[in-house]
Amino acid sequence: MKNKSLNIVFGTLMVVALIAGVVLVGQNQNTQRGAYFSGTKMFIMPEEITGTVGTNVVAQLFLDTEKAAKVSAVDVVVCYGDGLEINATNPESQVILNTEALKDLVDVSLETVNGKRCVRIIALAGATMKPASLKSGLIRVANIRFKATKAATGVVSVLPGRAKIGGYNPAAGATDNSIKVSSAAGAKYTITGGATAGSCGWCGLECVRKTPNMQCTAIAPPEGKVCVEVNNQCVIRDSAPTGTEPTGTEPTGTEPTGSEPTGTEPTGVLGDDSYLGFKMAFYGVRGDALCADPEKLPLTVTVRSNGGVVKTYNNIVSTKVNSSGDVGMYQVKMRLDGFGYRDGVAVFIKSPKSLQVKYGVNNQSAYYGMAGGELSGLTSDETSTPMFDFTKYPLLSGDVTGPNQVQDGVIDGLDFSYIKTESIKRTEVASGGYMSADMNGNCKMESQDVANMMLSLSVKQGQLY
Amino acid sequence: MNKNNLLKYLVPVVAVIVLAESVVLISQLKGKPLNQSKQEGENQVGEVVDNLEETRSGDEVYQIELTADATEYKVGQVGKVEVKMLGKIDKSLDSINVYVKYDPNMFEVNELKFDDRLPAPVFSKVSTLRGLLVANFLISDPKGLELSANDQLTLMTFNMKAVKTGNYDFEISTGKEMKESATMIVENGSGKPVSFSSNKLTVKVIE
Repeated sequence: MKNKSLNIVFGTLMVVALIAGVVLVGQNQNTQRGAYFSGTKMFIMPEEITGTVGTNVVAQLFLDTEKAAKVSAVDVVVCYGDGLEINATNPESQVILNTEALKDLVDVSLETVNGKRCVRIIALAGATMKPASLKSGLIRVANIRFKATKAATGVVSVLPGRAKIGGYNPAAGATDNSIKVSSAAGAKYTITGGATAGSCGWCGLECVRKTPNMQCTAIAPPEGKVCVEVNNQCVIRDSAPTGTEPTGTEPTGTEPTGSEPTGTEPTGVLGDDSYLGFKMAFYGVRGDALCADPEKLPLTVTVRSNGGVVKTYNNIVSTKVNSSGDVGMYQVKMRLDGFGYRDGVAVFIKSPKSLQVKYGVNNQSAYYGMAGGELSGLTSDETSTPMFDFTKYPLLSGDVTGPNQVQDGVIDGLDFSYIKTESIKRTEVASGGYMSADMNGNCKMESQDVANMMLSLSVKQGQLY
Repeated sequence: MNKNNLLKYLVPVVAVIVLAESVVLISQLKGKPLNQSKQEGENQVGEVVDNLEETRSGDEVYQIELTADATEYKVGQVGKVEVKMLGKIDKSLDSINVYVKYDPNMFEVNELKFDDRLPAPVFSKVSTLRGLLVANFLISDPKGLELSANDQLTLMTFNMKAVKTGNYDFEISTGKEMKESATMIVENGSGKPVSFSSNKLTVKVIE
């Protein structure tokens, strides 16, 4: 009797187990709740942001997802320092979402995190966006437009611990939709006081370093004299006789034609060959970049006098000044054979990966769109000629190819396609190596090279149009 | 006796069923493998190269057409212009850089818009300085922007208001005046420019 009861109990248990098993098989079992299904990097571009007081400076927020993970939601906190402001009453107006990737800007709010001012951005792809339309890989999330309110330096950074990235997990029955933020890189910014603050100029009859609120008597400066900066001092020099500035020959991004004089040769100013000294930088290339050797980045330097005399010097090898820090600095001191002009000089510099850039003033920090140049004080002595500082306006990278597979002086779709294709390969080379599409000289091909190029294009187009 | 026999057979039957359930359960847990977009991208390169071979017949691959919503406008009247791109074969693109020439002394142009299928342009502007409408589309997706044959893409639309009478043109810039303003379509994979043809849109403005 007892055995029979036991048998019945066991039998009932087994039947129950059988039914439970059938029910269980019919349901999806996922033991990975709360895990990430992929990872992503976050970074701010450009790596070096510059601006002047009173203007807007833009920081672009990027994601670079692994394994082509598709992004459907972003909740990030971006912090910034002094000199930058976001409108407290309407912060949304200063966050421009990339609606191609995320349709809905759900919330933008300001907060303070560990004493830092931050902006939290929450955005969704939107209910109408199907998984196939979600973006993956390198994604620009948004542009954050800060107002530059005072001269300052600082960092715009992403807080990785506060970042939540949601995505679409294509695994059947998956419930893990989180993407882990594996790294977050910020950007340094430098805000300088107004466009003319700190430049040498006439204040009445005096040649001084001007400030925005300086009061000066409204009289013409002395004839035949110019007020220029030489070795960080404001000095008065004799002005070069002005020939007619050739119109239409001023390069705006294209190399000046030829190396022979294109205007009437002024008399009375030619002396022995001048020496030119300058420090410069390549956009996005840090001091510790291991694949940005000067020998691999020979420069083409063109000088132009106010009278229109042009000379070009090829294969100029610079000297790397630093091996650490955020900005790689390169120095050149060269003799200008056949060019004896001392004042009113403009310098054009180009490299194998960069567009030509015009430098018209010392300490230039923005596009110089004026005719001629104001670089002065050159001497025929290598030791006394001034060392101009062009590092605050680095060469724009991205011109790496053209229709004939050589540099063509234009950053366009051909350059983008080449750099993008190379970045997909994720090639790495040893220290000291060279890859033409390695925009930041860090010896590896990655999405940051593509981002650098896209920024260069945007900046250049803004100058041209 | 019968009940005992029943129980005797039930145990092994249940055991077999549980085993079978376990096998089914484990195989369901594996799920479908993630797509390897990198592999897809590599495959796409091969396909694109094959297509490129087919197009070397001299025919333009794309036709860029400028159309207006009317043939004639009065001074001050606002019209709409569309710039569309029609392809003859399947292609995947890495970038589309469009430059449309116009006379800023004759037209006020605004409301520049683009097809939803295109990514937000890296740069776009109505440049009165250069007399150009500019839009630069760079496609980050490793596969590029996949377009089928006969797929029509609206590169841009804009409103224009004529300010003077006469016949005026809108046309695609090919970079003759300024090489930076060359309209260009670049193919994914090969990184080569793709040929295109375009029309000139003449707008008549009357009093």
